[in-house]
Amino acid sequence: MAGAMHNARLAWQGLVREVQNGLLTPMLLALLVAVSAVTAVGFFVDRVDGAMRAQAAQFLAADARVESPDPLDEVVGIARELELTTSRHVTFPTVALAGQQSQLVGVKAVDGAYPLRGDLRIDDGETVSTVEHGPPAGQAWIARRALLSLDAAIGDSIAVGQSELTIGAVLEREPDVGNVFAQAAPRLMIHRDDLAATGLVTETSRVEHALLLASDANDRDARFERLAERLPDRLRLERPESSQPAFETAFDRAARFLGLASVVAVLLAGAALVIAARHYNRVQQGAAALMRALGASSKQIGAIYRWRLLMLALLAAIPGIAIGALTQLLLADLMAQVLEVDLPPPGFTPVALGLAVALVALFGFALPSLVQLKHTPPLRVLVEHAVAPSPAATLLFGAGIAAITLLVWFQARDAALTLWVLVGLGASLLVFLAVAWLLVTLLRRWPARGVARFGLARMARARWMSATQIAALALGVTAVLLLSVVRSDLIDAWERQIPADAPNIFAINIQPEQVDGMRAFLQEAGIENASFYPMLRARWTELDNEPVDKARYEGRAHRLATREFNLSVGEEAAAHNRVTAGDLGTEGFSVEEGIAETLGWSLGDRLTFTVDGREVSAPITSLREVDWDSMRPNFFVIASSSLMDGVATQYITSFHFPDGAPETQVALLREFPTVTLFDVSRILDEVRTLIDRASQAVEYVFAFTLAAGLVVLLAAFGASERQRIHDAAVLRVMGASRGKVIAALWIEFLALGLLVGLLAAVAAMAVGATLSARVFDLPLAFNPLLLLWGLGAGLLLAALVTPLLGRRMTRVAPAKALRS
Amino acid sequence: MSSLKTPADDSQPILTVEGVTQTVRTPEPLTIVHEASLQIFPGEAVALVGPSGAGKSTLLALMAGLDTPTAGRITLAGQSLEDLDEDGRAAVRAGHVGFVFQSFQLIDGLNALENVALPLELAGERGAEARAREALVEVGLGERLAHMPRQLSGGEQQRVALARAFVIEPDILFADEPTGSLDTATGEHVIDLLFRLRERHQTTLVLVTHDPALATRCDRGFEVSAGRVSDWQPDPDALRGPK
Repeated sequence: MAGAMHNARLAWQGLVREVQNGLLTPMLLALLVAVSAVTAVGFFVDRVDGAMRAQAAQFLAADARVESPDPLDEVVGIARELELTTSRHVTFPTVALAGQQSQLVGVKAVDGAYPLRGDLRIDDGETVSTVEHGPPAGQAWIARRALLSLDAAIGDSIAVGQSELTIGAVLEREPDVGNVFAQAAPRLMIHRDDLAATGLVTETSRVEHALLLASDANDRDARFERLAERLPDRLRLERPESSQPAFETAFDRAARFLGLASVVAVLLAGAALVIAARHYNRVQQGAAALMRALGASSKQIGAIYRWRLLMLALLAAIPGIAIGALTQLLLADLMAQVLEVDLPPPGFTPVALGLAVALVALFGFALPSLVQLKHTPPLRVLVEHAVAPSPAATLLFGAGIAAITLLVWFQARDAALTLWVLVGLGASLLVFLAVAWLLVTLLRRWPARGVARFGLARMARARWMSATQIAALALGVTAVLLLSVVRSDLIDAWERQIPADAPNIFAINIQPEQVDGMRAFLQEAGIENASFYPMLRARWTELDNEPVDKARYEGRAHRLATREFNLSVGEEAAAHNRVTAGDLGTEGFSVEEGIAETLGWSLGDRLTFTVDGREVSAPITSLREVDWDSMRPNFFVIASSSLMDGVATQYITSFHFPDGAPETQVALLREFPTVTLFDVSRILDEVRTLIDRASQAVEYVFAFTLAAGLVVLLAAFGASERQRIHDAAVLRVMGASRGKVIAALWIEFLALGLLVGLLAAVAAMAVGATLSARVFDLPLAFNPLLLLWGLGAGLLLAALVTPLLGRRMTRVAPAKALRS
Repeated sequence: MSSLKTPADDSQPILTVEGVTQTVRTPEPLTIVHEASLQIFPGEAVALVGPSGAGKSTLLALMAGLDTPTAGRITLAGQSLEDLDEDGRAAVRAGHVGFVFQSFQLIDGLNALENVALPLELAGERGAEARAREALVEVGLGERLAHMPRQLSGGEQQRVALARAFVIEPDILFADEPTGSLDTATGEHVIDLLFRLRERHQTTLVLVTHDPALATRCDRGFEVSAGRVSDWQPDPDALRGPK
């Protein structure tokens, strides 16, 4: 124990000295960047995850929920036994009347406990406020859309069935709104106590009963599990985790992506650590030999350097975690606006993660180089050439690869993904390295003279070191270019694909008898030739006369197989689609090729749908390619008109109102109260904001990658500083001014910066073009400006580092520099 | 050669050192050169002799403007070095001074030809490569132009350094223990070459050495001992060497 403390003290003394004289600066900075990158993402993901759970609970307005067409009295009994808080509500559509106007509304009759989680936003005519309860008895809260079409105002009476209620407020937001597209009618919220008086709900009425459940007990998950076990088979307990599977999956992917992006920074920091540790090893061999000559055992020397690394890890981890915590504030600020909920404070997991990364990186990337020190022969104090054998390549690479694998696996949490990321990263780095090596070799052949030749010769002398620096920096710059320039290019290109007069309003629930009137209305509003497409709900029941085996399908395919389709009828619905196989004119179903692939359908397969209580069976007679960006109504399945004779249908149309024309929308709703309008431009704006914010978050994380690239540069400079100062002194002995020495450095770093910029720009162009063609289905396009941006970034890099390093190289008198 | 010549009285000195002192903090103040004064005239070969640590190399560095003295005045090629900043002193070196060092001081990343051409290119002179090639041929390395320093032996590296020193036709050449890193035979060969080249190019030579026999090949010498400079006369016993 005393020995360990003694070694620790020696390690600490050396550490303080080496931090002061700058020997450990590159390692310290590399660790700082690695820890900051990982903890920033860790804190951010932790907080957004917490917020999403809270938001998911809001989506349900509870911790759990059960829905049924029948009253849920028996479940309420079980819930009470389990001491769960409950709230019940009933929803159903009806027509509400105000004065001479009527409007189809979706009534939601809530009790006094509603909502158990989340809140409502209401506008009482004077203020907009957030409340944690529904309307009091005697009042109705109504969606603004319905209020407008009823031509009513707050304080007016509204007739719901047989009762008269007072409009108390406009309902701006309710927590468990569900899917807005499924909510055909605008909301009218009343108190459950007023329900009986309406006379609208009888035993035979088609209504939806919901039971909300919540608990603050520590074992609430267990209680919900017990409840789920006791539920009748026809009922299902819905938990927040599964309420928004698509959103959750998307965030889980985003979180993994951010984590992996931070790993790129850690890997580059690892490269810096390897370079810096090898230099540190060279410098420390004299000290290690002296200690051995003075009687220290090889074991003791090993222990001293391990202690020193441990202390270094802590020294870097503490400020690194602090930087990570500050950076996540920026990231969290971006996402908080999108999530519309307060982010909870971060937990302590990221702190542990930061420490773990510092240790894994240091012991994986730096320790193997330092193993040599403990084997330094004492003879080295007399004979400079006496050195310990270099550590085995298997140890150097093995430890590095183990560290990388551990770090990637920790972020990916999936063996296959870890393997793919390792292979992808390894391949990209190898390509970058190979190209950088080739460029450096070519540059050496450049017929330069004087300081230019001197500057370029330095790069060529340490070709692998130069290539490593270029590859590391290029990777960082590529990432930033992709996320800044290419991102906006892709979004612009996507927006350009949507014509300025593309439909921005969708109208659904149009009854057949309303079609002519609505067409006339739209004509008056300046919309010529609006197309109305029949739309009906159908459930897929059989494939080739065999019942659909839903268990066969997973994920998206399962959802498609189990939900109702929006089918259309007649060839007109496919007029703007491209038929890729079969014939649209033959009687049968025309299917969008994407869904056909997902569900394993082929031309000629026989599909059976249940439509309006009737079974309709026919073969697939054509496949279509659908342009989903066209903003026109599109359908997965279109049936020939002859198949749907006599089936009741509704219609859908879409049109363009400049800037949404809210007044015209209101006028339209007044004339056609059962019609529901969707203003898609707002949704597009929200999608754009979400993409923008998410990619900005990734951009911030990639800034760490760039910083790690710079640390590689610094580590490489640190490793060659002595040689550089010597060479600069030789130049000055031969009469070169400081200016010329710095000019040589400028040439070296300009060349390095330009190579970095060129490589990054070409890589960003290639990846951007591939993304645009393969992922976004946009025409292949190269942005030549990327070259300018890339080269600009390279020049900026040179401008940042050259003056700094130039000063270090020329501040010592040549005589002193040569002597040292 | 066993006697030293006296300077020509009718010429102006190319190098004048007046009361030069150099003190460093290590961290206690330590005087390495103590009020040194001497003059060197064009065409002379002058030796600075003394034991290791006497301050010879420090004095050479001060005389060549590679370092600045704590006190005193140095005039090199008509320029008072104390009036010049580092770049000004570099300009004086570029126009008038050549160097040869014990540890060769070649640039690792440049081949032999590029190393020799470098001072000409730094001075912006034309035909640098052709002149560098001639210089290397002159030192017998015409076949090794493209070799990197690490591919050359110690003697060959020092010959490249000689070619680099003479290619600019310097008025004065400072040589700091030029044979210190070489074995005896190679060292003698390099010294022969050095004196042959200086004769051919009419170059003033300041040679730092701890070897009295080598010093006697110069016209005259100064002894540096504990930082103090005095005239040096060869000791016949020392020149005879051990029995």
